[in-house]
Order: sequence, then C-alpha cells, then structure tokens
Amino acid sequence: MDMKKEKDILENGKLKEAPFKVPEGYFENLAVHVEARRKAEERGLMHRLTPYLAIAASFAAITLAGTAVIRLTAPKAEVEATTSSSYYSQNTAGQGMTEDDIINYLIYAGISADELNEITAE
Amino acid sequence: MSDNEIIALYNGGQTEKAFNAIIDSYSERLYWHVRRFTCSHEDADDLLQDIFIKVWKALPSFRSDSQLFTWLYRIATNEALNFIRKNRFKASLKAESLESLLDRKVDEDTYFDGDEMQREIQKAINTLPAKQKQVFLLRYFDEMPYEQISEILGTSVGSLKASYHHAYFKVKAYMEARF
Repeated sequence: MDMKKEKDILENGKLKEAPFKVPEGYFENLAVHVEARRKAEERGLMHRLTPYLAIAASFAAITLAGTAVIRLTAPKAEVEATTSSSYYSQNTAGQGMTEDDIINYLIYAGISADELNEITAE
Repeated sequence: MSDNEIIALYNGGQTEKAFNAIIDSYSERLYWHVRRFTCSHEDADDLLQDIFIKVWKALPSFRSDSQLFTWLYRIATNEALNFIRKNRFKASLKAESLESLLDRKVDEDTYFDGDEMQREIQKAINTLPAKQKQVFLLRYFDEMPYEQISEILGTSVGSLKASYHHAYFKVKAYMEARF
C-alpha cells in the first residue's frame, strides 16, 4: 500500500509570493499623493458648499427684503396671507457628483442594482 | 518607526508627523494586503489612498491604548469590503457577476508579474464570499495568527477557523481542478 501522501497544492511556497509589480517610485511618492488628495478633498468640500451657501444667503436676503417691502406697503390682512406662502428652491443636487457618489448613495439607501435596473427599464 | 514611536508623536500633538510616519511604516504592508482584493494596481492605489484618508479623519478618535496595527488593518478591511460592495453593484448594473469583473481585471492587469498558477489562485480567491476572502488573505498570505485576525475583524477565533477551513478547501479544489 502506498503510504506516500499527495502534496497539498496550496503548500507550494510560490503561491504565497506576491506576483505583482508597482510603478517605479510608487511607495516613495505615495505620501505626497495622499497629502494632495487630502487637501483637494478639504478644498473640494468648501468648493462644493460655496455655491449652496451663496444661494442660501441670496434667498434669505430676497425673503427678508420682500417681507419688509410687503409689510411696509400692503394692508395688514394681505401681509398675513402673503408671508405665509411657501417658497421653493431650485434643486441643484445633481451637480458635481461622481459615479462613486451615486453608487455610494444607492448602497446607503439600500437600493439594489436589480431594483435600479427595473426602475430604469420602465 | 515603531508603533510606540508613532503613538508618542501623536500623543505629543504632532498629528501630521504621526500621520506621515503611519504612511511610511504601513503603506507597503497595506498595499499588498489590498492588492489581492482589487486585482489591479489602479484600484489598489485608489483604495490605499482612501484608507489613508479615512485614517487621517479617524485619527482624533484613535485611542492610544489600542494597537495601531490592529486599528489600521480594521480600517483597511472595512474599506476593502466597501470596495467589494461598490464593484458588485457596478458589475450587476452591467448584468455581470463580481467574480467575472474581478477575473477580467486579473487578466488585464499590466502589473501582474507571475506565472499561470499565481494567476489562477487570484481567480480562485475571487470565487470566495467577502468575509471568507478577508480571512483567507490574512491567514494564508499574511500568515497572521487567528487571535490577531479576531481583533481586526471582531469575530471569534472559532468562527474564523471555520471560515478559513471552508475558504481553504474551496481554493484548493479550484486549483486542483486546473493543475
């Protein structure tokens, strides 16, 4: 009876070696790239927020000015009716988004790719 | 620089220096760890940078009584899981499986420098569910003790051993079918 045990293929030491190269100087330059990306993200956040802050500030200024004009010029009963009406802002949420942002949102919202495909097929 | 020296820098308020020391000490180890998750240099580079950005943001919540090594690997494995989740989503939008998307990346990888067996084991790993893949990579390639993997993944040693056993035999069967 042959007692010799067949060698486990995964015990081949070569399989544990990393069979990949990296571009020359990759690790030496990584810290610089991470720092650049970190700063870009910080700037990007302010950059993305600035238009929204500007819109919000303009909207608030127009609302305040409009309310002041109405209060000064219209009879009291009309003032109550006018200033309680709703205001709508333009939706700008689709601007400046990447595919990753959208995928992250869909994953966060629990929407599966199948559901998305069904919706877009309709 | 040792972990203790990095933590001392951080505790001394030199956050930026501590962060750069983390990159210096851990970039290679973490790169090789995530490289097998991603199957391409470009994705591994993106993922590694994501990991370091997360590390930078999470540094204020780092408790210096915990191990830096474990903390970093925990962030890396969470980010790797996010990578898998995103790619599964991208693949299913194209009516493709995650496995075939990753296999394609293995075949098209211009930085792959191995032989056919090394290419096939990468594809065998792509057949594993995400959690088994994590355990297999940490145990088989990084040869990490179960206790350490348990701290990183927050899973009991018994459960890890079972996961590794399943993963090992799946990879082995895949390889034996081809060689």
